[in-house]
Amino acid sequence: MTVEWWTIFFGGISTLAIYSFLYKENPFYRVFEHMYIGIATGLGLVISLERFIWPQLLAKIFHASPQVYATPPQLVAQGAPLTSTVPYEPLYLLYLIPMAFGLGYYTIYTKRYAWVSRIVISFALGYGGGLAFKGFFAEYIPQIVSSFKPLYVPGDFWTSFNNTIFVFTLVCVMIYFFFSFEHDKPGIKQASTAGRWLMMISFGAFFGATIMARMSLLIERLQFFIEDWLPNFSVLF
Amino acid sequence: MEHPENKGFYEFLLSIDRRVVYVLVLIALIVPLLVEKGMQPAKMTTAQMAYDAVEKLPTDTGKMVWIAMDWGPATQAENMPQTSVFMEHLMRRKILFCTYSISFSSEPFMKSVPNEVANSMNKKNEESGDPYRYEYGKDWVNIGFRPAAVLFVRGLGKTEDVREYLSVDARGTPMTEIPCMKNIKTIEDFIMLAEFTGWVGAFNIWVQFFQTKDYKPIFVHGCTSITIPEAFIYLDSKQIHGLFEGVAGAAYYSKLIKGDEFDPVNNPDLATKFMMSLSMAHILIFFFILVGNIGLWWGKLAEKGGPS
Repeated sequence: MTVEWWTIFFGGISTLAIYSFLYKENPFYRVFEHMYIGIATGLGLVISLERFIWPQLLAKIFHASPQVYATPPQLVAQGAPLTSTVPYEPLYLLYLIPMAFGLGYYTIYTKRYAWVSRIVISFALGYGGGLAFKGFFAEYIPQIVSSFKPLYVPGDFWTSFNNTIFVFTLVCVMIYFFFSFEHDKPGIKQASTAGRWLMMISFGAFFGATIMARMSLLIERLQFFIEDWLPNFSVLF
Repeated sequence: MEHPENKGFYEFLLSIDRRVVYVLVLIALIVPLLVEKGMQPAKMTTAQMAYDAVEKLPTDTGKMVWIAMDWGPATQAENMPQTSVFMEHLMRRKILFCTYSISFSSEPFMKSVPNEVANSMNKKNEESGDPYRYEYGKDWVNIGFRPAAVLFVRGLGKTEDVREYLSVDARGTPMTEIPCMKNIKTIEDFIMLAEFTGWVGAFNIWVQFFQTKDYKPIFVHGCTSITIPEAFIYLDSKQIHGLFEGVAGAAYYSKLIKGDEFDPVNNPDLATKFMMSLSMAHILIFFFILVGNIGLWWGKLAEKGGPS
C-alpha cells in the first residue's frame, strides 16, 4: 500500500464520516469533525512557518539560505550549501523589532503584562480602520458612479429597458430602507412595497445559486468516490 | 372549520422523512456520473467576456497574469475546473502566469493544478509533434501562500521591485533565479488579475488593493454559484471584465478554448461531467418545489372545505 493509496482511503472514510451527519448526529461524525479542525490548525501553523516565517524572516536574520527547507536530504548529504552565498545584511536585524512587537500579543495570557497586548491590538485596529477606509472608496465609489444610468439610450431599446429596471429597483429598495418618514404616503407606500418584492426576487436568486453551489460540492465528492476511492478500495478484494 | 380527512396528500408530503429526499438527490447526481456522459454547456456571456479579455492580452512581452487561487477543498468543486480551464487558455496562448493564495489550504492545489494542465498540454504537443514543453519556472511560477492578505496585496501595489518583495517562490527558489519573473518589476507588469474564490471577503481584497493611482488591472473573476448575483454588481460597474459563473462558466469556457476538440458527450472533461449531474439535480429540485407547492395549495383548499 502506497502513501497515495492511504491518502485516498482516508479521504473517502473522512467524507463518509462527515456525510453520516445527514443520517443523524453520531460519534463517527464528531471524531472526524474534531480531527478536521485539529489538522487545519496544525497545517496552517506549519505552512506559515515554512512559507513565510522561515524564508522571509528567520533565514534572513540568521543568514541561512532561503532554500534550506526545500533542499532534498540527498543533496544536503552531497554537500549542497545550507548557508547563503550572499553577503550578510545586518539591517535584516531590524526585523526583530516588529517581530517582538507582534509577539507582544501573547502577553494577553498573563495578568501582569496583558496591557502590552492592548498596544498591539490598538495598532491592529488602527491600521485595519485605515485600510477599510481606503478599501471602501476603491470598491464602492465605482459602483455608485455606475448606478447613474441613462434611462434612454438612443437606438438601443434593450439597454434602455435594462437601465430603467435597474434604476426603478434601486430607487424602490432605497425607499424601503429610508426610515426618516412613515411609508404611508401615496407613491412612497407603493414604492416601498415594490422594493420589498424586488428584494424577495433577489433573495430567491441567491437561494437558487446556493443550491447550485451545494450540489456542486456534493458532485465533486461523488466523483471522488466513483473515480478514485472505489477503484482504490477494490484492490483489497 | 378544518376537514383533516381531505388533507391526505398534504399530510403525506409532510410525513416524508428528509432522508428519503437525500437519497433521491443522491441518485439524481450519481447516475450521470456513472454513465460518463457530459452535455453541451449553455452559452454564458460572462465567460465569453473572460475569454475575450484573455484573447486580447499581448503575448511574448514577458509580462505575466497574476492568478489568485483563494480556494481550498471546501470550494474545490467549482473553483478547480475554473482555474484549470483558465490556465489551459493561458498556456495555449503561451502567456506567463503566477499563482498565489491568501490561504494555506490552497497550497496543494497551487502545485497540482498547473502541473496537471501542463502535463496534459505536453502530452497533446507530443502527440501532435509540437516540440514545445511547458515547464515550471519557464511558463509559470508558484508564489505560494503568504499571510496577512490585505497587507501583502497592499504592499505589492507599493513595491518598486516585485521580485525583491516576493523574495522566494513556494519551492524556496529566489525570484531572481526564476526565468519567467525576469521582466517583472512592478505591479504594472501584471497584465491581468484572475481571482478564483468562494470565500467571503477574499475577492474584495483584490478589488480594493490590487491597483495603484495609475494602474487598474484587467480583472477576471471566478466565483462559486452562491456569489454569482453579488459578482454581477462588479461586472456592471466594470470593476471586473469577465466572470466564471460557478462550474457552468467553466464548462462554457472549456468549450471556447477547445473549439472543435470539444466533445462533451463522448469525451467529457471535469466541468462538463459536473454539468450533467448538476442539471439532473436541478430538475429534481424543481420537481420537489412543484410538488411541495401543490401539496400546500391542496392543504389550504382542504382547510376551506375542498377539494371534494
